[in-house]
Amino acid sequence: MVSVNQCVDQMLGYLAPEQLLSVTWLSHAPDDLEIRPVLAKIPANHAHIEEILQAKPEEVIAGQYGAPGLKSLLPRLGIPLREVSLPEDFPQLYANWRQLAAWTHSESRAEHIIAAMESEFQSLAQAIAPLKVRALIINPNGWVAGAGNFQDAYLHKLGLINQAKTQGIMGWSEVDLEALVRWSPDLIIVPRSHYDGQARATLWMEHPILSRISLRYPLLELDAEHLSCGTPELLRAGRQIHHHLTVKPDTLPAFQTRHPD
Amino acid sequence: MPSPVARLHSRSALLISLSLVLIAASLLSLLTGRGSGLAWPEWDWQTQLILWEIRLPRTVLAAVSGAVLGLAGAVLQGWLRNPLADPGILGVSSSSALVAVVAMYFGLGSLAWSIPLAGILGALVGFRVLLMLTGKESGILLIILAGAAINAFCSAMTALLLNLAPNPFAMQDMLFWMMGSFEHRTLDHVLLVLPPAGIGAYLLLRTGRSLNILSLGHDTARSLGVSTDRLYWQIGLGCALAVGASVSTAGVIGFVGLIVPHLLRPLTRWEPGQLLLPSALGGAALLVLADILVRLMPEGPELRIGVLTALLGGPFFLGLLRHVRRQEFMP
Amino acid sequence: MTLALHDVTFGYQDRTIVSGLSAAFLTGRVVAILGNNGIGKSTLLKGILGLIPTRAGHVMIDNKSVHSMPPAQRAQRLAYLEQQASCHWPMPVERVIGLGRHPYGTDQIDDALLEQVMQMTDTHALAKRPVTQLSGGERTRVMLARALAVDAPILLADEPVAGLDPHHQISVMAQLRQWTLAGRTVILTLHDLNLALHYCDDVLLLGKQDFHFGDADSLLNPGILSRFFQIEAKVTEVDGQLSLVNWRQATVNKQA
Repeated sequence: MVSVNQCVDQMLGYLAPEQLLSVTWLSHAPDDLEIRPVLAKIPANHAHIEEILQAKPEEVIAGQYGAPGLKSLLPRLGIPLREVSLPEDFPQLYANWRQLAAWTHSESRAEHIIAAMESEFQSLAQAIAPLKVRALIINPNGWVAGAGNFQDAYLHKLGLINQAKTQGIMGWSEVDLEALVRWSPDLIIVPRSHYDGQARATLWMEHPILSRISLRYPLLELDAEHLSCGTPELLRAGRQIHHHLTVKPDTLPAFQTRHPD
Repeated sequence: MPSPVARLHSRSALLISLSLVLIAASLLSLLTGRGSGLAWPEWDWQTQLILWEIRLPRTVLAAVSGAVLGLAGAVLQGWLRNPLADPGILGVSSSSALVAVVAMYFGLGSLAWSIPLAGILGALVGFRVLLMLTGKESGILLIILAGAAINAFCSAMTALLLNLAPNPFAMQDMLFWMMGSFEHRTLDHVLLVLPPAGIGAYLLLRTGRSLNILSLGHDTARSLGVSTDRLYWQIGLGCALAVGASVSTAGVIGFVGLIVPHLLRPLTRWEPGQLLLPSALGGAALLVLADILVRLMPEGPELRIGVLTALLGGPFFLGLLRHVRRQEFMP
Repeated sequence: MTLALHDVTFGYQDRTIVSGLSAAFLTGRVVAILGNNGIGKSTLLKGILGLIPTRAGHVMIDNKSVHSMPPAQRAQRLAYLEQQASCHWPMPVERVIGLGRHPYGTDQIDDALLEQVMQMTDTHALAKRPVTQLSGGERTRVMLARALAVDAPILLADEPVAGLDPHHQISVMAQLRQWTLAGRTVILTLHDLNLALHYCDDVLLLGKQDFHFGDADSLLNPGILSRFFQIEAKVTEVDGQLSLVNWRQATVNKQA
């Protein structure tokens, strides 16, 4: 089979790499994902119909969004297309794992992965939840995730309080710096991408004010790759958050002293 | 002969009123927040942070950009004896943006000052190319056409480079470079822009007397001791420093240099030299006010400030073009 | 102050327009530069000012080269009225005249001088008017006043009476004569040969191959007129003043 979605690449990399004829070119980009060495050996595609035809797959697996042109072409060329939906919470994510496992006959591997994730998330949450940390993940251009969004589910799963949800954000929303100052979360998490050259979308997150409004903990930068798909990489990010909150002593920014409460 | 005292009087009255408008606009700008609108804030630590780290840099940058754009417009109009000249229309801004984009997205931007420097270089090249295409004595139409050509080319190159940039977020920055914004700028940006903008503005403000003489024509001005070559470099360098620094941090914001000098000209007795300082103050006030309006727009992604100035300037430009054409062909 | 041309050659790009010209313009004289259209009268004035580079020779004021003087110093010595001079912006007339003070580092003209030059050019009534709204003749007079405001020892005026009504042609010429009495030199281009005869001391005649420089009364004779202007005319004395009468096209002796 051929995958035309980065997260499908990674999940199938865990489940059944031997069945993958081609992965997206994004999975060849240099990053430190543990699955990368596996995916890097599989040829890459740009979701162009010519590449797919050349690979002669039995089926193509795509994400819920993206590659619309390709998706409309495939049925007409007689190639079965399967879609994996974008998960909004962990049950949906696990359902995706089980679905992919069913398609590739690797059910036991999927159950193993799910169980491992569930148990470690539980132990992380047990350690983090008592701290009652109001956290916020600030994505490029100031996008934050509120209710009904996987990033919200992720924070919740780790035992963190999603400040965006507390503020009534639904789905994705672009916030401005002034609102962030008013929200004054305990912890700000910034997913960091590793691209050459700058862009204003990510320079946004280098604004000096961000490091001065998270009151209890210093700003935490995580590798954006670790957060982008629902794989065991989420645990790696979770461990970093846990480490950040528990091992490092609470630091008190200068402004805390002037905080009314 | 009007007594020089009376003239001085009306001039200082103009300068004082423009300064008051600018001060009032700046205060309003400090009281205006995205989402919170125009409101008197409570004096807590968050307000202090917002004022100092968000609204102050934004307001100062809007004022500095408006000042240099208004000033550059007034100088270019006086120099080319053409009421349609403006750094945006002549392609100086877009060429500045192009080189700044190269520096920012292709890894030359690791040092903080390299992007402003690139913007300044780009503006200088744009100025030089424009003058190579048109010469200093050409008609209004040729200058506008040359500027349009430079603009088209630079915008296309900017789009191409943002497409090819290694950072996938670069494409999202297209609107910023084409339409400008003062969003998310820091005090560091202000400190980076102020020196070149200040030096550029100083060079431009010093051209006033020569510009007055130049309204008598090139030959007469030279006969009166104006060194036109020196003036050329003074204006080129001044525009490049001031406009380049502004564009590299706030993107291309059009029409400010067109509208402001035109509105103020009758109040300065049509003397190009008397127009410079008022245009700087007026430009600053205009952009600070426009930036307030941008933040009062409904929620959602922020409207680019260049959209607002273009909405204002577009019809203005067309009206002016009609007026100029009538003057040029039906004397 | 004496303005002297030593074997000067001026031109644009590949075209030489004035070549090998020598003349000395003495203080207190009104000099007319005469010649057909396109012969190089304006080019000569621009060459003297250094607005176009000198191909050969030197332009000297009291034995100092004009073209190596600092711009302000040269501007204080040589005032210039451009042909069809105008002002781009609608500034008030009196401000335009004041611009003539630029070589002295100011744009303020003192009232006495302003009064004097407006008197000479009869522009008093126009003082407050926007210069762009004036008629062609009015504008020429205002621009002449601007050039006079430089108060330079030498005035180079390119067609100062073109487009002026007869009354103002005569009054301007008379005033320029008056102007030289205070030790100034006026060099102007003209097409009206009678004005040259009546108001100018010397004439510089420019032809395609050669030039003549000398006293107006003796130089403007029928032979010269035929050779340089292809006209036939009588020079007669009317009330003790030489004048040209009975102009017509020359039928013979056309200059090659």
